[in-house]
Amino acid sequence: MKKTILVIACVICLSSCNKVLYNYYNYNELAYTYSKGGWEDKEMKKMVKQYKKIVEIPKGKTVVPPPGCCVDYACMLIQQGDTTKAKVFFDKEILLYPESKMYVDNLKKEIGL
Amino acid sequence: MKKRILVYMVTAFAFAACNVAEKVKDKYVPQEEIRTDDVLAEIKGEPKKEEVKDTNVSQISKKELKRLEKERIRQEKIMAGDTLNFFERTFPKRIRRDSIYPQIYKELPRSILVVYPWNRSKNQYGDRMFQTAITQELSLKGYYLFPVLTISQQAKTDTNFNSRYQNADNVRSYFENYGADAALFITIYSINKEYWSTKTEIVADYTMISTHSGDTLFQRRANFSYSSPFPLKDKSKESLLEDNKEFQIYEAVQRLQHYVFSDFPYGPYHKEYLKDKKKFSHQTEMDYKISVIPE
Repeated sequence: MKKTILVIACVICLSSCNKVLYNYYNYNELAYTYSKGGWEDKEMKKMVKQYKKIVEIPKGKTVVPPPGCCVDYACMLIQQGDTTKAKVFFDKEILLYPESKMYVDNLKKEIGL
Repeated sequence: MKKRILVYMVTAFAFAACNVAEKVKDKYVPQEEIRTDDVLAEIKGEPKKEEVKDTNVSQISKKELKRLEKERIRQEKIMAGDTLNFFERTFPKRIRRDSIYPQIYKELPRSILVVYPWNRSKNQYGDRMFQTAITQELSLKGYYLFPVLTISQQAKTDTNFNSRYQNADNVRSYFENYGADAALFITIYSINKEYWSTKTEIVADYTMISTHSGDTLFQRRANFSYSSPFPLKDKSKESLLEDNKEFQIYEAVQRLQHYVFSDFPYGPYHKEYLKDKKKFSHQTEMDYKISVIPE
């Protein structure tokens, strides 16, 4: 009897664990603050650090960075002068999401990569 | 001691006397008498009027009376425009997603471009709040969303890149320039949050247009009223937002997006892709009134 109850409880617990596709951490706040602009170098570094977590430590069902995040992170890296790393993330976005190919290619051309 | 007893007795007599006086007054004051017409006619010596007897007397049982009362209430409701019965009201007819969004299931868009929102509200950061909050909502539905920050940077340099200046005719350019299958236009009408109130009211309009056919894939006007719990949730120390009011409005915007797209069909990156055709859907125009304050 006890075993049955234990098994039912385990099944309920497991079925209630509804994992989302991507883990965004505090992406919304981060993106909103970034889009407002007017930040200093110190704040910018802090934001890049937080954004790095979204891109480099992906969680969720798919275990990949959410759509568009690699491009945004690459643009941040370009602002900081790290073009080689930025290129890697542009390519990663195309690899993960083929829909982005046209946009990323155009963006790369615009930037001169 | 004696004096006190005397005082008590005098008071008791006074009260009793008042009551006696009242009774005497009632007895001798001439009272009005109600006389019926036939008595008056008798006094005046006029001939009596003939009594008209109602012969159509029918007795109604309690059950019948209840039925008639119900019928009267029903008629009143019909007159007021409420034609749904109890069952129809309690269990509303299920609207399927494939009947509300037939174009989405036909065209099957994979990528969505959120065009910079047209902010008609007085909140200067409303457009940014909407644009950043919507990305997460739609990408979790399984669609590819174009990078928000890069797009918003572009909007700063190109003022034409705004929902205000776009129409269904030039959405084709989004496919040619970005490779997007659909473009989402947002118009924010109002964002109201008074400092003394826990309520945030937002009115916004969403239109998603296919870049291939130019057809409207999704359209919804949301009248959102959100009452946050009291005491209001303050921003955390780690939060990047400037003040509590901004934090609370942003929270309401995120909730709005969640409700607006709650019945949106799943995209190709979701395991429920094309399996949700029979699931529920809302009407195109909806009032979302969410209150988390216990009544």
